[in-house]
Amino acid sequence: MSGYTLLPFQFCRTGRDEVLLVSESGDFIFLPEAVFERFIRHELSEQNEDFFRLKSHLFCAGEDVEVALQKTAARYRTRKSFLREFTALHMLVVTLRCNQRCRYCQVSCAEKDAAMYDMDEETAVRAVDMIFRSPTKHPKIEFQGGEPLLNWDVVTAAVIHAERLAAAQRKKVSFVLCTNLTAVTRDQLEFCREHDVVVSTSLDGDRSLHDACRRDRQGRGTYEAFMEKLALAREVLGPDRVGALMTTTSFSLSHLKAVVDEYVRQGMDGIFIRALNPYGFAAEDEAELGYDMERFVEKYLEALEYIIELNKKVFFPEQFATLLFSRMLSPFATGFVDLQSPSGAGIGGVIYDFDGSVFPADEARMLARMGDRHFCLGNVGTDSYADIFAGEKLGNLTRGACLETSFPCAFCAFQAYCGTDPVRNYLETGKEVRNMAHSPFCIKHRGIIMGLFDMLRRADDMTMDIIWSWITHNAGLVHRL
Amino acid sequence: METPFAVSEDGLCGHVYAGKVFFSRECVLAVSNLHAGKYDVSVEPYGEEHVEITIYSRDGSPVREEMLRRVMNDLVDCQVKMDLQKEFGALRDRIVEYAFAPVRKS
Repeated sequence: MSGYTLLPFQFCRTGRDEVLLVSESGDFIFLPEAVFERFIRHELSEQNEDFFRLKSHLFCAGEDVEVALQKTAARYRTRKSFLREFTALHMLVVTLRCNQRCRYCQVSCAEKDAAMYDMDEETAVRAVDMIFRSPTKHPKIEFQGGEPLLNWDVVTAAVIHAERLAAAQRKKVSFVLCTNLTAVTRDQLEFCREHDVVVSTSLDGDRSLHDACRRDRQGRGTYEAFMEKLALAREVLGPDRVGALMTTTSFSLSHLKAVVDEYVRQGMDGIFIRALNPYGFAAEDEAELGYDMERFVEKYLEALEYIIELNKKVFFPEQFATLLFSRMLSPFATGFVDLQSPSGAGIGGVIYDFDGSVFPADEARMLARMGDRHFCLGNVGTDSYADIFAGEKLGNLTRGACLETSFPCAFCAFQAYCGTDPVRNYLETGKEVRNMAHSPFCIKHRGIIMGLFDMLRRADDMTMDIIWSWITHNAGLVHRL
Repeated sequence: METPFAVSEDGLCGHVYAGKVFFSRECVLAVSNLHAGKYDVSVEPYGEEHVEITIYSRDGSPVREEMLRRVMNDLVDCQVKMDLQKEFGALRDRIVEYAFAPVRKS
């Protein structure tokens, strides 16, 4: 028996007579099964080449255990550094009204003239005051809806108040306007330019795919109006200040390559292939819009292969893969509130509803729209910052939303890259903590992470350059054809 | 015992026999729980030396031998993970303690 000490890791079998080991800090290594068996029985020779790899990647230590633990701890702290900022993302729902009626709308948007669903200026100012109580030096304020353009005066009041507070407190605030763009005016875009507000919009694919779900209140497609306003937004703001997100439905699932082509054609700087969330209208219409998560994983990975090929000609990252590759290949925190442990709900991002109610996640607010206010943390009109952010409710939610302490995630090889979603758990089972095995969340993330590992194993130099160009956002890393 | 698993004659359930000498109570319950999201699972004593894990199909589709083989492999991996956890669990606690020590000081 050799005298080395095993350091903490998780493992899974790949099905190819290999075992994938992932360390506490997210470093990974593939070992032949026979070598793995010898390694865990302390029978691997310390002169073996695999032993050197294992030791250098901190899967084991010789006499220098203390040094190895300190190194692992430093990497672990870096990986969890998103906790240092506490709540950085603050989403303001300035109205539930919308000029569109998209088939998968997760918040069951209200009629365009339903003014009782507007946030008033006093509530917006109170929300901004609360945002600036957060310890983060870099608060990001996202204006959401409904369609935030329909309550424009409150958006501008919130931006101006936030800028004033940022200057007084020497913080760097950033703004994102989440809009379908179809109602935007030149004046509104000029305000965005003057106040450095980035626009995030939605594009589901070419005309037929976009119009399949993204419709106006009369049921007509919005592609044409969207394209017209996209051009205007780019003209006023510049192309790099307008980004788009897509939502995959059963209509687009088998046409993801066409969606990618449309994004390239429209000059988008990348794509985030997002699965459908089962809330609001999407939940009501799930039979027609939904799909099995296994199928989503299959189609996502096919599309990713296509995007990698595309990147041999043009820089065009897929954002979700970029996030996961970054977690797999670097020790840095990526700060994606939807996939963190502890969950980012409340401590990474928080949402202020039109009436001042505060929720730990957009999905929790959507749940409230569906009639269940289980996750409501308080209200900016009646509760203090401490009541909401240091209260029992958020504390309990966060304590229960750690992969490291919940089964089977505590034993999962992909723990270092994954996260939890207590709101989704609650929606699907009535409990914030659930057995994640066979859940759509687990099927999706496990399937995609396994697919990415498979891609890394097969990757040639060009593919690795492409992946690193995504992680570092440096298009020049790839010598293109 | 020739094989540690068997499909019932009607194909609607399968049995896995876990030797107590190899698998802990925690391991058997953890693996049963792992599959309880998709199947109905029961755990019963089977003689002095074994525990019987029975897996019932929920939708009437047959339980295949491949599935039982997977449960058996899950048992093996789960027990290895639990043994490893005993070996380096204290080190994991120290890593977390070291990682957050600067925060505790501030």
